[in-house]
Amino acid sequence: MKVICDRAALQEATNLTAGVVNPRSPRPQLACIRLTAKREGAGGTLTLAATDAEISLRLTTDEVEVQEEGEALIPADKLRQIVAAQDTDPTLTLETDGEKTTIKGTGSRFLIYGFPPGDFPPIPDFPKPEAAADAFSASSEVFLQLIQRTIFSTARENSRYAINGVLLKRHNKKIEMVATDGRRLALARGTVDPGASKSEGGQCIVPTKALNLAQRLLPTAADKIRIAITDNQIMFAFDDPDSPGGTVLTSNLVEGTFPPYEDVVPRDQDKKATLNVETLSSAVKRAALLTNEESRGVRLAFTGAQDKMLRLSSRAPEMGEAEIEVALDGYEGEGIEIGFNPAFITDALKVVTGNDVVMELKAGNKPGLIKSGNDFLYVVMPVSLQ
Amino acid sequence: MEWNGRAILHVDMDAFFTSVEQRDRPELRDKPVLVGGSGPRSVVAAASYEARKFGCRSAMPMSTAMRLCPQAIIVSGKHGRYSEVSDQVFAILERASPLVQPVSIDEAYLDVTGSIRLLGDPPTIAERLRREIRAELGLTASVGVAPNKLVAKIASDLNKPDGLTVVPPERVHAVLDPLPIERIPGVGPSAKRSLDRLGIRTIGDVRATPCETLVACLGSYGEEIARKADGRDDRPVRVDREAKSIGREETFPEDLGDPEEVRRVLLWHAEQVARRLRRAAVQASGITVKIRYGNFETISRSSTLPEPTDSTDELYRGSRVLFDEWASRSFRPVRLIGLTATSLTREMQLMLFGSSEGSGGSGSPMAAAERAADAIVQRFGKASIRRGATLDAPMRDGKRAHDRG
Repeated sequence: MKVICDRAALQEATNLTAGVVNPRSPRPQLACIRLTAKREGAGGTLTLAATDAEISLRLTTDEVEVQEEGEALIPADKLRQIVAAQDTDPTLTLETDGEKTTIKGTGSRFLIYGFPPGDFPPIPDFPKPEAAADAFSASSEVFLQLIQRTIFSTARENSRYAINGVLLKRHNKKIEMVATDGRRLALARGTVDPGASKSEGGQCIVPTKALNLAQRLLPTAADKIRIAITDNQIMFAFDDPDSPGGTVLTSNLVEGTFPPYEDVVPRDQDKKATLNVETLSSAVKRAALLTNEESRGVRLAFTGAQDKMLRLSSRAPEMGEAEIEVALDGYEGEGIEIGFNPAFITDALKVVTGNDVVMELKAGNKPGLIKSGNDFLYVVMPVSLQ
Repeated sequence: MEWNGRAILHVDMDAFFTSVEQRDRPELRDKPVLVGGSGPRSVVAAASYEARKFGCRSAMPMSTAMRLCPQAIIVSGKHGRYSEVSDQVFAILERASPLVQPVSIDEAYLDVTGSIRLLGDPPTIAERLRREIRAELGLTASVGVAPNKLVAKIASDLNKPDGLTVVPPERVHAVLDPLPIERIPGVGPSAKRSLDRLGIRTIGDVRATPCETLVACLGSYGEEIARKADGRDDRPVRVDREAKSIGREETFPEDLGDPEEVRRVLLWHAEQVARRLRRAAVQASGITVKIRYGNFETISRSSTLPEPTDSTDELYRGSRVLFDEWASRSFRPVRLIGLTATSLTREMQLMLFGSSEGSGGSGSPMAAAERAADAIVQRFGKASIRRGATLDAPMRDGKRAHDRG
């Protein structure tokens, strides 16, 4: 294999693929990126593939000149570091000799010992629609928004409520994604194109790590991406079906059942506040300045339909207190006081579009509901304040 | 007795571990008994009064103690048993006041100011506690009664064992003044030497010395000594509910060389600390693991938990990560291991799934199991139910399986 690569394009591709690799893999071959060069007409393509046994990613760049077709298996971290470090070079030349690969830049030459490319496990191709249980396509923009509006609500790994994934549920043209960490729940809706799919839809839990990668791949993807779901895997194709090679992300699904989220979306909230997103976000952030580990809650006091005031307050022992007042654009119902973890509120406000949100409440010890249009629902449990 | 102002009791069980042994095993009565290991590097965890006559003291190397008193009987301590009896002692103390602050397994402060109208004057309350401990548990306690914690602590030591010392507010100076300065908690050999150079030997001498002189001699510590010599102390009796942290630690009679053994003690600590968190209705956002080597070098490792918790599993998981991180790189035999829950909060994040009344995941089966176990412990004592993995934990127990408030 001998390839001259555009360095910037190679760097982007290596960064993305190296993100999949588990550097502590017991098999050194799995801590590698497999490179495959193919000649096509005057230019050619270079395909990079990586896997951590759960998730695999294959992506192709055509910003290369393939002088000799071939394959290489190179440790991911070294490849990534070298490509990043040669940052003044417009191009880099990769040339293999057996298991060894030479990377040449201006005035530098790196020889890396790799492994036989045959040692690398096969990376699945995007399946034909008929081979998948469910297949559909979605606008990249819509799908990116669905991820952004939910992924922040997943639990940190190893915490008690870690589901380690986001629920994806399709019914015909409608798609819903749901994430929760047991204290708040984000639900985003959108529409997709079921194409010729025979199935009405279905649901599965997609690992958070796979969606994080998808989130990084989507901004440069084609307008439409394709998604296929089999018994235990989900696959995303980010390029036009007719483009050569293409970027494909494959992930095992999370086993297990998603908590009964529909039961916890409150339906009988009798207090309704309409709030400007910027105003609310800024007020919560200011109140959060006087919270600490022992006292993280911010108190929200809605004065009722007459006054239409929202008073936010916080108190941190041995630190101080804050009080912030904002006028409400609209309020229905009686006054109420409720405490929230301020980060839970600002997290949600970051992902809404539009100027306003509606906050619906019932009681100080009952969940709050934040809505933005019909496409975003956010349920957040309060903290009981002293 | 007319009592003005606060009434504080300091209750200190007499030679607790050896007394429990002598009570449980009649053949040990009236004999010099040492609790501790018999290995070459073990230390005395506790010495009976009979052994103390020979100069044996706790924390002394066992070999030294055996030289002083070759006829002493060495008993390897039984942690579970001491904890169980300790629970029974605290159950009696709680009859006198809800304000009980555990200092260690065998020592506590009580604020009985609010109990006087119901139970009688403070000396009567103290005498009654001593009587009940003797009648129900067959053990003796020494009690100091005073207007504050400092004086109560000094007083409980004045007529030990099996003594009651009452220092009413108007008698504080009369009682303290003739005492040697080392009776003041915190005055160690070096402060004693410095004061000795000024000709100060008794607490009364300190009071007769101008504060500036003390400060010139001892720095800011001089002010503290002056305050203590004056018998002033306004620290409240803190129950766990108001504590800044809740923890416990344990010194082993011999260094533990097996990390797995240490982990079992850590689990036992986590269980006790989590129970105290739940009882106080607080959750912890941080934990600290303290490790001491045989040479007294001490390190501690802290971390923030992913979410505030009062669950045994979460505390154990967090402390285990800290311990394993240390152990994987630099394990050395451990003399003491401690676990403290920090950043306590009474705010409860309510949960979406499960019960609506809050307390992190109180709807989960594990939380329900923990509540049930708490109820059993409340009734039958700490040894009645515990995690299987801690059953054979190496609790030869040092003098200090401290519950720290």
